[in-house]
Amino acid sequence: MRSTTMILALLLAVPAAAADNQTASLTIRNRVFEPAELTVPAGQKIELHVRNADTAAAEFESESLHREKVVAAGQEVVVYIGPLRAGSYEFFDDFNPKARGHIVAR
Amino acid sequence: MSGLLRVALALAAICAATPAFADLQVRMPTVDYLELEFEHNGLVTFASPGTPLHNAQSYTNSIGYGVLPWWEIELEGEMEAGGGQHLVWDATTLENTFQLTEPGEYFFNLGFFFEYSQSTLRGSPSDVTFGPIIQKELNNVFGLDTLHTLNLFLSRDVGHDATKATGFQYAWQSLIETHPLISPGVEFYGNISDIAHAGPTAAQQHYVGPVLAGAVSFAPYGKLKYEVGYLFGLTPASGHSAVRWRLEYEITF
Repeated sequence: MRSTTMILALLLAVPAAAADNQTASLTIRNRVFEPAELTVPAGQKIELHVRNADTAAAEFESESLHREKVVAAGQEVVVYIGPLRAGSYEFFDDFNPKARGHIVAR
Repeated sequence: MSGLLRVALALAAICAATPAFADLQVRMPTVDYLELEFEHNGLVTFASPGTPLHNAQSYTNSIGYGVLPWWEIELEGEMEAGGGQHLVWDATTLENTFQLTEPGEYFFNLGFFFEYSQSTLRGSPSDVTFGPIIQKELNNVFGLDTLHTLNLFLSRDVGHDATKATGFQYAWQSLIETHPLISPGVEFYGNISDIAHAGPTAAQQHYVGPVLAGAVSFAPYGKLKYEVGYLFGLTPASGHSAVRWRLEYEITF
């Protein structure tokens, strides 16, 4: 039991050393992403702020980025992605798959 | 008592007490908020005819929901059968997964797992199982994204017929995320019934083997996820091998 507590304490201490990240923003408005294409630097971790300006919940999802996150109506969530190789990564709203966009890492 | 006799007695005790893992799977540290999920797990073990692990089966069916962005709860029914025996509903389990960090935010993704399993069999104790879930995403490893997940769980009997033993289970899965439909990987599982009297390694259950995992999205009508693995027993107490599978359908609700 003591060893489990020590392992947990060690693991939780590691995150405190997290470095500053690049930030980027997306907004879901009228059931589309704004902007539909977002350019971010390659090779860096990105702190992506996704705001839902609509009155219905949405879900930011990307298979290539291995991320999915529900965004309640009127709320904002943070999704951490990368570091990314240079390229284009598609994302969509899982509740409304017609809403799609790309993150381009350069 | 000779070493060989001690090993034989320990093996007999382990085999009699645990014909198979009730639930052989790697837990993830993330919670699917507002998602309703139906999950089925299966495990069949292969061993020498006449031994308890010969064609032993274990199945779980569960329904779960992401109540909060950091908390998912799951109600599960467990069925099990030793070699040559009929399947019996042996436990009803309440599982909780707590997401402690946002994926990718820190060096590790962390979660915590806690379950209470109510035995339905007379003379068989209920138990609690809990412990950390540790995950590391390693991207761009020779051009490939990889995902590594480790479960370190302790278990303890509770209620009538409880023993004083503290069990330890580990599960490790490493996946190469080649494509959403199919990702190959490797898994390790281990089970020590009582860490205070772990006995020789030969008396413990340890497995290793390949796994395939993937998901098919039917957005906005949900997602079907699967895993199938073949495991080789690493010790005499593990039997020759085992097949395990997991099917999960999730939909936002």
